[in-house]
Amino acid sequence: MKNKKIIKDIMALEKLIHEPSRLAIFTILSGVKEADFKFLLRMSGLTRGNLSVHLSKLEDAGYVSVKKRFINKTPNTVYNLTKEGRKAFSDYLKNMEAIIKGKKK
Amino acid sequence: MDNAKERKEENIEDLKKKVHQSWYEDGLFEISFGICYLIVGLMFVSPIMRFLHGSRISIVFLRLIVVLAIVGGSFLLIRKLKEKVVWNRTGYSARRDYNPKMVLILAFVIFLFFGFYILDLSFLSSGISTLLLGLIMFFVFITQYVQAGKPIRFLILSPIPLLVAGINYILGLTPDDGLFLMIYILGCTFLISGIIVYIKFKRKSTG
Repeated sequence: MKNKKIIKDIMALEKLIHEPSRLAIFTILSGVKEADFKFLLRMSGLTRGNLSVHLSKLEDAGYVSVKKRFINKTPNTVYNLTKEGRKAFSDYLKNMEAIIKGKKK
Repeated sequence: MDNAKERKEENIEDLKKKVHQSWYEDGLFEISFGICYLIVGLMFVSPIMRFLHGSRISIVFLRLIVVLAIVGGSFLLIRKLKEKVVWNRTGYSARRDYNPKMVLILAFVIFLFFGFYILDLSFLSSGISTLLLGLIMFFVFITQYVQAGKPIRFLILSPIPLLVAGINYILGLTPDDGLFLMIYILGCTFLISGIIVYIKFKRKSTG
């Protein structure tokens, strides 16, 4: 019965967030209002290509919004978590906590 | 075969801490607030303030307005400095909007700070009031230490107001002189600490 509940909780985890690199991106963006690509690159330790691919996936899912601008004639791309993104991340953390607590009991 | 190899394993809490600390890693926070403290300290030695006539409370409120203006100015200064010298090295990030609860706590602390200053002039003995001020400043610093992701240098700086308050108490300084001493020592310590951190940050980010 307990195992069934744990399995159900695991199934409820958002797979898009559960991937380690995307989880790192979510964690970074949840701590700031917005951040540019360079900041995300430095904090996450990912390669440019990987970061770009993961951000595109999150943008397609509607979890991340992108803003393009120029600073001193240099293009700068700024990312931030959307409302849905923040909610999904908070739900994910709650589910994860429930699983860990369930396993400890 | 995703990114497991290319990034160090970090748990969520470590990463959150790293993001918080990134705001303070360049030392500009200390430099701006060090300058801010030193300007505020000028209020206690400037001839205009010394010879300002009027009720005690109105002088204290005038000082409160100046302090708030300087604190606001130092936030603008931090932003400008970050724009000029930091974001091109580290990438840009904006802090999350302040939690209304935190703003209320901050307002309450400022109110307490000046409340004690007013009380000091009329009711409390100068020594006890200075010790209370030191205690309030200590709690402000400890809060800042926790908020900043626990950088060790903030923990080292936090007992300074208590030490200065102790010195004030022993020397029996007047409230104005006591506050002036506290603000100047804090300002200088902040500025020196900020400059050291900034030099280290610059070396690290260019090297």
